[in-house]
Amino acid sequence: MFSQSRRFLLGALLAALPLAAYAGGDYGSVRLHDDEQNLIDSSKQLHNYFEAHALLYNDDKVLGLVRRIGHELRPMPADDYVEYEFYVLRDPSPNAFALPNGHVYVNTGMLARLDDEDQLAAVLAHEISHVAGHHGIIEHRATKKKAITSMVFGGVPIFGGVLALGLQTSVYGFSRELEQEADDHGASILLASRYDPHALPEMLDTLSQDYEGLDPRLPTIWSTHPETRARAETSRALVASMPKRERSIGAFEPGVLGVRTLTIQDYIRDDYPQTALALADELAKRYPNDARLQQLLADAWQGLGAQPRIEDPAALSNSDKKHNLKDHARKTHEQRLAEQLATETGRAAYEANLARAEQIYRHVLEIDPSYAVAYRGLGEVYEQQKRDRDAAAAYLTYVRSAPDAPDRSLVVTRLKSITVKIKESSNDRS
Amino acid sequence: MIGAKARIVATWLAALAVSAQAFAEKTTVEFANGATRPKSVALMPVETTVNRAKVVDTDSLVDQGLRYGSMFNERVKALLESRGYAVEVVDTNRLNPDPQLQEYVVEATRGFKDMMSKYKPKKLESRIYNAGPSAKLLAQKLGVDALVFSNMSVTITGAGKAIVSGLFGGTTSGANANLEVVNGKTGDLEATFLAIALVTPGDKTDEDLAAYVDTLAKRTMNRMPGSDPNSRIDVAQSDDDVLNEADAVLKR
Repeated sequence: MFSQSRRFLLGALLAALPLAAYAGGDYGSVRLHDDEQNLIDSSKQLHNYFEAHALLYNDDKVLGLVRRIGHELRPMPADDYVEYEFYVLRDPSPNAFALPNGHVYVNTGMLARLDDEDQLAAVLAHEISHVAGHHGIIEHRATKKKAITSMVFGGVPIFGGVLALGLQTSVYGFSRELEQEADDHGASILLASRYDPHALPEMLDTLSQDYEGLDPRLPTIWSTHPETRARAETSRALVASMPKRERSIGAFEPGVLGVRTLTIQDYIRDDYPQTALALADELAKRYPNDARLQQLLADAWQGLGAQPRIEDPAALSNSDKKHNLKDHARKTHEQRLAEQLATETGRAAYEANLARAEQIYRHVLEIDPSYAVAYRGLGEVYEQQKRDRDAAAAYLTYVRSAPDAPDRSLVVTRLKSITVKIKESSNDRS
Repeated sequence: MIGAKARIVATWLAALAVSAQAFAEKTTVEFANGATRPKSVALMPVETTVNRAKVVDTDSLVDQGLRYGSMFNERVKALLESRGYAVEVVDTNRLNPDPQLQEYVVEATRGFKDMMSKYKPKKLESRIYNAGPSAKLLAQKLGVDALVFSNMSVTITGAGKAIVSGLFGGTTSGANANLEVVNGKTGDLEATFLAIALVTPGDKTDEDLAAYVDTLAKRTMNRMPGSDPNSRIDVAQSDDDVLNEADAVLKR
């Protein structure tokens, strides 16, 4: 994932660049200079990279939703090198980006956080504005005049380093001025469409949520990317006088439910448990009788490990956030868990989180006694609680109830090692 | 005068590059002694960057990168097979028809990259680096003992510019490759291999680039031990045996 730590690095590096004073986007036709055709070629080639690395998310429902709205909003291109196309990328970070050739990508992580079609329209309107305003080309022209060494950017791993220098800001964010311009222009696209312009500040509020407490507000880190909360306030003021419209929710929720659950699973796997828990909690409240979503909630509690739940990330100090960011970037999950378990607070949190997870797994089985995955969850909790016999029994039930489960042999391996432990401890006792 | 000085510096830098070790490896003890050495591996799509660097910009040749990444995997496959490994290559032909495989590859790759972002070579032997459950699931789906992740980078500079830009902190021409072996059963990082190659400044043909890829593949594999089944102690037990044994233990 494009982790917070990597964004931290890129933000710091971008902040070190001397910036041009931008005159703003150009919404007419922009003729490419000779060396700029490479930006268009690279944009096309990047798509091949996404395909080769299985990063394109091709679910018909989700892609259909994004493309329908994107095609509704896109203007007629002013240049023949621009062709608006819309794609979804498999990535849990809440990001979307547009390349100079008109290809717009929305991450699954972004879709998972949106509430309705209007918020998605706000994202797409913003990205379309970057293309229509030729921001990628303008920014490239401004930055290449400076004495930037490509070694500076070469050190930041972005899409495996395949991005041409001129495309990196397209993916990670343009200057403060151009981002604000895209917000403003995006609002006018929404106003001219059937979508609600008030969805724009809502979408920015969503982007600014920092569940993990990893987002220190240092002026230098975000100096080339306007702080999202500030952008939300500015756009709220901009749309205040615009009409509020009825929201389109109907097709949205069934379309993105799969992406929501996928994103939560991704966050658990990628060790962003606070985010996973916040999103899972919201979903579980909306669907209290859905065994699958309650299971996800339990998995998210388990994923917290020995961290207490952060109820209010906004209350964390900048210094706490800086510490969290450094910790997350430098230490593995196991290293952090070991450190947390060495403290009384950590051990108490661990016990409480596992207990909560156990309670929810049991609740899943009340909703649906045949939901075998809950037994796997119970097995994992019991294993961590050193309840070996209970863990073995739970794993056994899982494997026997779900003989075709894709992770069957992994669970059998765990069962094998627990069985050995039980035998050894019985031998010790006798 | 400037030309003469540049030639002296170029000669000095070239001598330095040739004398520096062109490959390196780091493994866990268990990998070195064979206990966790795999019999079968799957090669993941290679993260390749081919850049044509100018003094203040780069052209990133993404399509060429994809092509040379595949070539690198082909070379590595041949070298691994010559050392007794069974090798699968995960490429677009394999990925395109299988959405579940795509999902596993993406998740495993993310877990791997996150792991490597925290990697310190001196801590490899303490086994704190794990690519996560997705790597294990992927290995299981592919039916292999280990996953191999590689990345390769080739940077070409224009003739005459490399030394100047190198002195002032710009991009120099060069090529390097990394190859990591992840244990498919545990998800642990078992081994890392690194190779570098000197790339002279100036435009390169396809044949030139292919030759660099070939050199990198050979150098990366230079210290890769053979797959020696005699070094491992495998006690085969069927899933049913495991379940029955667990049943019996719980009934006691």
